[in-house]
Amino acid sequence: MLPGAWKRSAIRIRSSRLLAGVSLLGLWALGSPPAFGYIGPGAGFAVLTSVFGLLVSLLFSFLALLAWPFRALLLLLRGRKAYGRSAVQRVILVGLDGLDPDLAQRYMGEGKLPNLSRMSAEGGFAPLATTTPPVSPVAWSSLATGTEPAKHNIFDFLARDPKSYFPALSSVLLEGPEKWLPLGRFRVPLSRPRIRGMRRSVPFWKLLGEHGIHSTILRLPITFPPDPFDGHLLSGMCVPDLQGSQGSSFFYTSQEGPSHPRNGGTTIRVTVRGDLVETCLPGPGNDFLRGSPAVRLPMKIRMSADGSAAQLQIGNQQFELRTGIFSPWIRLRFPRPPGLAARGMARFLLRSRQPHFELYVTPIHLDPERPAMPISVPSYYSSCLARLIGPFATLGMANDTWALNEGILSEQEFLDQAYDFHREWERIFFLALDRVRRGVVACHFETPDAVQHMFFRHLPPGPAAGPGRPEVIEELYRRMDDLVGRLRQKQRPGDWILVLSDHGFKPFRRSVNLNAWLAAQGYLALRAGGPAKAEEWFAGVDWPKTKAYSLGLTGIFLNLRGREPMGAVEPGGEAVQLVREIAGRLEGLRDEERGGCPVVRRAIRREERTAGPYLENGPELIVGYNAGYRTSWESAKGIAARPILEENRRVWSGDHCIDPEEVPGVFFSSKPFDCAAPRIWDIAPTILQLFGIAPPGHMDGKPFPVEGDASGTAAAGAA
Amino acid sequence: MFDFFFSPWQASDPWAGLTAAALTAALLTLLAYRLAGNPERIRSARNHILAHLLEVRLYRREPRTVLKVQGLLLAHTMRYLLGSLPPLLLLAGPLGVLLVQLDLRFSRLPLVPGTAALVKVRLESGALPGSLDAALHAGPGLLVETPPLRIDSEAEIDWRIRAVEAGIRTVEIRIGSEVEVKSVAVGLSGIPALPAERGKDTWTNRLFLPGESKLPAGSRLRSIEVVYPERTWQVFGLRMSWLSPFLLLLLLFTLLLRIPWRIEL
Repeated sequence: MLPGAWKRSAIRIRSSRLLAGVSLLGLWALGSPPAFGYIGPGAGFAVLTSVFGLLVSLLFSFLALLAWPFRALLLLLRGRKAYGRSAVQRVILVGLDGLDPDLAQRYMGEGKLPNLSRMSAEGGFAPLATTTPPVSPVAWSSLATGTEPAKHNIFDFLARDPKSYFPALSSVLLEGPEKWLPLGRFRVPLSRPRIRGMRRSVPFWKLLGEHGIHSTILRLPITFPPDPFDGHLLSGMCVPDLQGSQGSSFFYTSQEGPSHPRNGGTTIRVTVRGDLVETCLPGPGNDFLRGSPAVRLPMKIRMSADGSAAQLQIGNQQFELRTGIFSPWIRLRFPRPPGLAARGMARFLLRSRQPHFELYVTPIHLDPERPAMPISVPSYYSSCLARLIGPFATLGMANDTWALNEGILSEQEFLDQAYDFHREWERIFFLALDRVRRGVVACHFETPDAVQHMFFRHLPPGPAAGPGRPEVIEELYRRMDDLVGRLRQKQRPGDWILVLSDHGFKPFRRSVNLNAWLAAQGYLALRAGGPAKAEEWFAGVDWPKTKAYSLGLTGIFLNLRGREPMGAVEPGGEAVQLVREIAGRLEGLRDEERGGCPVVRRAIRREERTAGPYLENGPELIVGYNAGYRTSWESAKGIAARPILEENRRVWSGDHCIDPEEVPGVFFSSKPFDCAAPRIWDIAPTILQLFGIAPPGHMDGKPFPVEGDASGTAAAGAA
Repeated sequence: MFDFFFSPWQASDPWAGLTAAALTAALLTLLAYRLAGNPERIRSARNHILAHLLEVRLYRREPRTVLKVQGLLLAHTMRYLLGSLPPLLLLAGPLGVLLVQLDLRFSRLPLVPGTAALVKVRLESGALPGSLDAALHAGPGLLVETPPLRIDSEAEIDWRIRAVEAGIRTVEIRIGSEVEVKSVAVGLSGIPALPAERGKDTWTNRLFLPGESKLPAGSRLRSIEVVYPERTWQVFGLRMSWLSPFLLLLLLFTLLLRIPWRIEL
């Protein structure tokens, strides 16, 4: 749901811009010469408009020149103070989500990653210890804050509301207005909607900003909603789409069957009449109507005779679609009375006409030029970027893995889309590199994670659900290496480049329904008269008789009395004993179909994890699977359906939600560093120390010396 | 044609005529951009200009970046101007003609009966007014108040006349053996065309001094001018010439109308 107040504030901003523009032009006109000098409209309206731009730029230049000596002095003084103790000019952090150290070493050994190899030789390379659990939101939050999860409060993609057993996004809380004024079928919000970030602790860029050091943070996960600080930030993972979801795509098909919601989107049935398909694109809800029904944009698709192309008419715009080729971003305006509109953008892919009409539409991304909710710091930063490089993907997890998983996109279509997005983010990154001369530039790329999730089965000795394409992963690593190569060309003296990932990857061959296992062990009870088959979000669970349940990809929670509404376990001794008992049994779980292979490497209890103020919000147990195993999709959604162990036949075939020691990330440094086993939460204090700022005591990470850092010994070599 | 255009607003407030003219100019502007504009180029240049303006603020702590961005800003402003050149050229002619006609109607007021005005006769360069026999005869409804004032340094002879009765009146000017006539508007309501100056038959005078026949090519007179009172327009308590409110209205209409017509400016 798109809260109306965000739209209203966006419109206010646009109105004030218009007013300011008109006022400036008005002032110009008031000071214009009398009528006998036919300058102005006589020379044409265009001149006036462009002259405005010219005048403003000249004014800026003039003022800049006038103020230059004072600014230079001020900057010198401030810069001296801020950067006086700094060992580097710039820290450039490239986050390649999920880049695996084993694969990287293998390809480097084969000479396929020359730039990473050179970086490793000149600076250093080491596996990067990751968080428990090794999940992106958790690990990147640790990178940002220099703390472990108990201090930043992110334990998984999903968090659970102990009062209702329902899941919620762990990183952000989106709440609509609390009070409404009903007016028949209409309603007026009486309070503002709220977007609250759930990550706690302080990111390193905020600490740097407080010391006058500027950071540009691009798409780093868990940065939505953007928290103001002294620097620039573009939000990444967890930015919603225009509908408020984490990415809902649309699939239009003429194949028989009803329209229905599916994982990651909606399938919409259409009828082809001659060469014409008439349907609509559902947008955000209209908060001014009771029930917030979706605003729908009418769509007409008129196909060419040979089916190779089609004319798409959406709203009052027209575009040509080529079969099998993604359209560029198409800006969409969803009118929402009274006089408001929600703006988004999507890409369209006409897949086929015969035997069935098939059209895929990406989730509706927020338009970075006019975002319907804030996605950057300062708020106009995203608009500035979009005007310079064109529209770019803004959705937190933009790569539509579900569409490939569900067979809606082909492998090649998925890759085309993924690398298109990747190129857009590269353009943003290199633009920032060009502009920023001091401070931090950090950019996160989700591409390696998405591609490896979907193509890991092609790596030998994987079962390869489809025709084998082992080159896809290799190509991915080559592309990332190429990115590093282009980055090294832009390197200046005084730059420290670090390329890192939050975790590695392992095959996902066998899925484990933890809730079914808990039920089989008697820890989770299902109601006798409950639903005939297990349903999502614990629909058939008999809570008063349930001692433990699993939600999300790695966690097991106790059903604690006093915390959960129908708790069955007494806190204290009983709970401690129960956790030990479950952990022991889990570690004894064997996969009989695979020759008695142990499924769980470690079941990690709270007391084995670093303490912090939010430790209680995390699960009692985090399941550290052995490589090859992972919690099933069903169990993650609270479904306790047998079998406990089954073959993973999905396209989603690589994963990292296992024992963190099995999936460390990578750490490449352009300068030698002195640390045998760096951890992802050591990065923030190391960056602070490089800029001469003492890391705060609450950070769990320890800074390690990097060449040039006066506070530590210059490293002789890599770990 | 222009008399016909302004005829509906003759009886109403002059603002109505000015608004109609601004709306017409806005339509002409949009038409020129639709016919000859390159929307992609204009949009791209404009986006870059706006983005670089924002960048100046974003990177205010990076003096070298700010200088670089200002260079880019100027470059894209030039790109924008070049992109706007074809519609600008297309627009220049019709809008120029329109503006001359608007000046004819909106910049001056007719004489009010009882008030005085100057009649200025400018001679060709080299002529000495003091050596010439000059006389001005006022037609019905006008009085000549002064003998000729000869200003040799300006090659100019001036008279003061007084309006007596409303209507289109005439004065007859005799310089030596040459006799010319100039119209004088007195007490007219609405937004009449008020040709203040009658000049020689040149292409610039045809363009900029419409409304009256031109002086013959061999005439010793360069121009005859009646100095009408200036018409001022009040906007938010400020008095100004017609061009300022016209520009404001033109901008407003153009900005508003470009949205439904999707025209890049």
